[in-house]
Amino acid sequence: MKEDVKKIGVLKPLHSFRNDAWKCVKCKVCSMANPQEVKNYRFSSNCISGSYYFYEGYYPPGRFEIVRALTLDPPEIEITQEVIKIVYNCTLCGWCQTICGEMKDLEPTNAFMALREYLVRNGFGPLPAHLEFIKSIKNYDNPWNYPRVQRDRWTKKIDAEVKDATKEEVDILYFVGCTGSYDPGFQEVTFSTVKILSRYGFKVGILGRNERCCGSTMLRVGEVQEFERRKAEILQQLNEVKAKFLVTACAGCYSTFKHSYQDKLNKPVLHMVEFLKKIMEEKGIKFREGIHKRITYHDPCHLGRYFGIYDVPREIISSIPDIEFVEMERIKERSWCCGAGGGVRSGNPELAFNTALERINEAEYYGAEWLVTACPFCEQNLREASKSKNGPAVKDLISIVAEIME
Amino acid sequence: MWNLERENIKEALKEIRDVVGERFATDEKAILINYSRDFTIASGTLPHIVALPSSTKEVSDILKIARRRKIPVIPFSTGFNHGGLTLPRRGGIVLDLKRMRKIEINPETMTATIGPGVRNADLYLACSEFYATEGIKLRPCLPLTMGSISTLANYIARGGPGITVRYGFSSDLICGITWVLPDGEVIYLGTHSEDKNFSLPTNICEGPDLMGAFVAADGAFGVCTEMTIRLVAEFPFEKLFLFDSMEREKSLECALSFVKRIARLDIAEFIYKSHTDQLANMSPMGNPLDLVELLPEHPVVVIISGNDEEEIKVREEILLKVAQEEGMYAVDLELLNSSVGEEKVIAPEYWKKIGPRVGGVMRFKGSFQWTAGNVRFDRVKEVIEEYERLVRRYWMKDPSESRKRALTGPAIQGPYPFARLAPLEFDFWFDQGNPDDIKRATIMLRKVTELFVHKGATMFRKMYGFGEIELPLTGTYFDVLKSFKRLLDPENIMHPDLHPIYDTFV
Repeated sequence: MKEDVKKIGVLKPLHSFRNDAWKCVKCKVCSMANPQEVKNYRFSSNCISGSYYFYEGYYPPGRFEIVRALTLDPPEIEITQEVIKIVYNCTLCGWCQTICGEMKDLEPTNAFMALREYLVRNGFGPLPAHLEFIKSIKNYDNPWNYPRVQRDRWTKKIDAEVKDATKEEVDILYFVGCTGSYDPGFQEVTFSTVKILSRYGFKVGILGRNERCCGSTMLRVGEVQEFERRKAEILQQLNEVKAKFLVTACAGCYSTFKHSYQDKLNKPVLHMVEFLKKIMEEKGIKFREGIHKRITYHDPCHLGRYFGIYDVPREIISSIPDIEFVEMERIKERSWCCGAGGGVRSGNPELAFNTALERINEAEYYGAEWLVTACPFCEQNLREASKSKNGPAVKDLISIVAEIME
Repeated sequence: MWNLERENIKEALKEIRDVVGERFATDEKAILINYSRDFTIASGTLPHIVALPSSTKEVSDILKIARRRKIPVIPFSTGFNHGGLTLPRRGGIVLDLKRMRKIEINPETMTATIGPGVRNADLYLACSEFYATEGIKLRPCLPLTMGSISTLANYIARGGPGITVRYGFSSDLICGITWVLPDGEVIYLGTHSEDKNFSLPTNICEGPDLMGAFVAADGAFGVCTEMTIRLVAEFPFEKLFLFDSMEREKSLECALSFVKRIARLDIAEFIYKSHTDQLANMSPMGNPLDLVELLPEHPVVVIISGNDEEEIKVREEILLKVAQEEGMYAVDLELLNSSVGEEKVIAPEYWKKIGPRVGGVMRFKGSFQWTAGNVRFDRVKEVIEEYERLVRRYWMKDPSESRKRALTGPAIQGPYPFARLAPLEFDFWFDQGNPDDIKRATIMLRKVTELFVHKGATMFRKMYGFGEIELPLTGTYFDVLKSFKRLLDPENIMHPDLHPIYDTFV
């Protein structure tokens, strides 16, 4: 198999998927959590939009059908509101490409990213809800209209020292990301990241008020042109920083840097869970106390399917004393998406909520008291759904480690 | 005749939405296009409406609307059927039944009652939570297709299970059916007619058995909304073998003779006379086309099963002895796998899942179509030889290229218990985006269908174009079928243009 077929999130022109669209046999294996691996029929479905809407159009073969119809000359369909709805009610979770890339060398997720770029280029996308945060990113370098001056305000709430990476050389350039900088619900992860890195003697630097949104959300909704323009500027800024590693605790930033920046970045990019594992191996992490809880792990798409980071977070969890770790049915390659990605949470909150609720139900079925993850978007979305039914507590892995380490 | 006027369709959509809810019926073209083509060479048209009912009552209400408004109805479960069975030919309402996902397992009577939205893998997993007896789980006889495919649709369309050799065809295992007639009335067939709990493990009911008339009707007589099927025991021990012939020139003869003998000895749970491309397709590694030269032309896959290792050992001894006598040998799977490095060419666990278990996946890039007929076992060889001539004449682009790379081949699903007959299939992989491929696939399938009819085979089920050739030759049977259709569906709203069983068939 061609290696690039497996790579999820690679942007190519829509017309390059014309033949793939014809070659989809609509077997809908992509709608299931791999019929050859799944063990519990209650959790065997694995396409969040198909499972919600049921129409064939909302499964990957349906989106391939849109690709096929739009790449005909003349196109077989007009771009209607329903087309736009089909295209944007997908989290780009990558499961369809994981299974179809393996089995048939097709790249559905990449094709659906190309569809978005096509819609934007032709003036039909993104959704109005997306336009708001794109405007904000352009104006304020974050999706929620926060002033730039507030970006580093979190540093006042911590004891540890963080350096200005634009002024001095550091060990780690910590890219905080928009959520980690502004969202009070996720700042705990930011504090925890700094706490761990400082505790183990790393000189941590940030870009502070000069840090800018990585553009992940723009890229996912198809605003490729604007993303590329920003990328060039951000790349220059990142490359000017003297640091051994670029570390982020945000799966979205990580995915964007790894896919779209890495070939031009002058330092390796690591997610904080990867760096944590590195610390464990090189320095050893000791825990002050254990956790007497039954815990399960939700694989964020942008760490798991996009980059194959499955074992590292599980190894970290397993190293925590007293934990009882349980796996859900849909894990690792065949993980059920939380429902937040690809602009779905802002574009269709109901779909995002129902998708998260399905995950909470799964965690409950396996008796989990804590649902642990490593992505701010997963955490936000799952937490909201869990609160609605008093379900398992949703936690971030970094915060757990920071809280109980010596 | 039908009324497909815009105003009538608009009103129908409004009424259907009152039945299923606003969200579950649409006339959006972006949705409709998904129901207008499948991966076969059959062609269809856009439906006017797609509806997603969730119960027998909702299906019934929609059929009443369709009949009153004279709009054709086409049932759809997963749409993967090799014969264009769910494609509208002149528009109408597609009933997408995937919301109907009832699974009820009755371990006492060893039956499952399922809805059309239940997928093979789901049913297998649901059954595996129950036991036939201590230590022996229940399982369904699944078709040799993918885990994502509707079990009910396969059974009602008379599919071939992977374990035909022991348990017969899918349709042999149906106990009862709940069926919505074209006028919206609900009829209970088989044991559903009397046993309201749908749990009796037999298809015997009071009086003449009407159920057979609805099997393989493919929606022409209404819609199947529930079905009860027999389950079987999953023996805890099993072993997979791949056999090849010792003499290349006699490989087909040896394979057939071997298959017949082990079927008549009744020692195997699963026998599949495969072919190179099929075997490559079922390999878990890389590009299947890279494997074909490594694989036998007429391989036979056998799975034996039993209660303990001793039983397996006894069966294995008999199997290997018969193989030797018939000029076959068991391929050393470890050696075969190691010949291509770390990846496996033949993974027993993978095959078991594809075969009688969960269902596999389609690995060749492109479209897959098969056509199949039931041939008396002693005539299989001549049918295959004739088919090979057709392959060289109509299918292979370059007759000098390797036959193994032709992306077609003959397989025997089973055979039927005791090798009374061979469910013989011919598989074709083609590129639906390539007009030349579609032409040669169309010609080839037509020729193979004619071959089956000429050799006295009964077609497995509705495949591309077979009805037009075979049904009119059946005389009085054909006339009765047409009368039955007129009786049930005088307005001809149920899946018209699929079977030629009414006078205005096009």
